[in-house]
Amino acid sequence: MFTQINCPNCQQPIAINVKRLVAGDSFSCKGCSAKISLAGESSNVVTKAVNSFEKVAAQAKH
Amino acid sequence: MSDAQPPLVSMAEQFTGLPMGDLIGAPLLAAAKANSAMAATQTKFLLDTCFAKETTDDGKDHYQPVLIKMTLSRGVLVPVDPSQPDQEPTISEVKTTFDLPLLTILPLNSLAVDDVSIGFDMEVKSSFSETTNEKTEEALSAQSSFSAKVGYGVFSAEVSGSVSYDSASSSSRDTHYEKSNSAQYSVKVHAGQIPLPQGVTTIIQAFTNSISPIEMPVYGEAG
Ligand SMILES: [Zn+2]
Repeated sequence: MFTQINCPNCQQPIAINVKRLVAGDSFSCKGCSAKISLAGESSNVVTKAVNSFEKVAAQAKH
Repeated sequence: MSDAQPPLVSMAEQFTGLPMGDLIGAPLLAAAKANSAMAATQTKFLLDTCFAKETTDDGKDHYQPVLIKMTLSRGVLVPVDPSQPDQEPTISEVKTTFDLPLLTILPLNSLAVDDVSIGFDMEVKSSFSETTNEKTEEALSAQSSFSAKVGYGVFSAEVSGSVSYDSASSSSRDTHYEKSNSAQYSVKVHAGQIPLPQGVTTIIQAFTNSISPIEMPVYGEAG
């Protein structure tokens, strides 16, 4: 599951593997080398959202 | 003689029998239905998961985007204190948190039906049958021998002229009888993935643009 957000520092797009983000990985900006990751306090919310997103996406394949 | 020629088939008539509407329409309709169902699913998912609903006193629903906390860390060059020229500049890592709407990190547009392609070729050919051609040739040779008889005893030039006329006629008929028509139709219908509705894209863009700017420490103010 891939997505991208703009770097808050330099506005360059940063590609993010959402599942890896939830797992705690950080992603580097190619423009300014800043690293972004998910703050621990939001981990549960995003994990739930990713799970329900995957359910909806699985229904879409049928 | 030309009255005996069978008429060429009408191309339009040949294709009328084909259920074109079904051939092209059915797969497209199925894809459109599936996509419309997915659009409803997308909306429901968006509202249920990415927004928190509050019902106001007047009974109206009010949706607030669910925000998640992200951490941004980057190295910052700490300049040398002018009063201590021997000091080496250092790089320290600065961590900042910023809020991001949950919906910006979910690939919502992947919730759509993949590309649909419908393609087929149709060909209809029409030409005269061989029997007709044979009959025509016999008729032609009879005609040419008739011409020879007529020409007998008359000026030779006139005879040959007559024959050459027949021959010309025959060849022109040949061409005429070989006439055929054919029609080839290549039907290609392509329906691509529906992009996110403009409104959703605008909202996501607005959220993305409004990510709060990070605060960088300034030398002398840190602490
Ligand atoms: Zn950057």
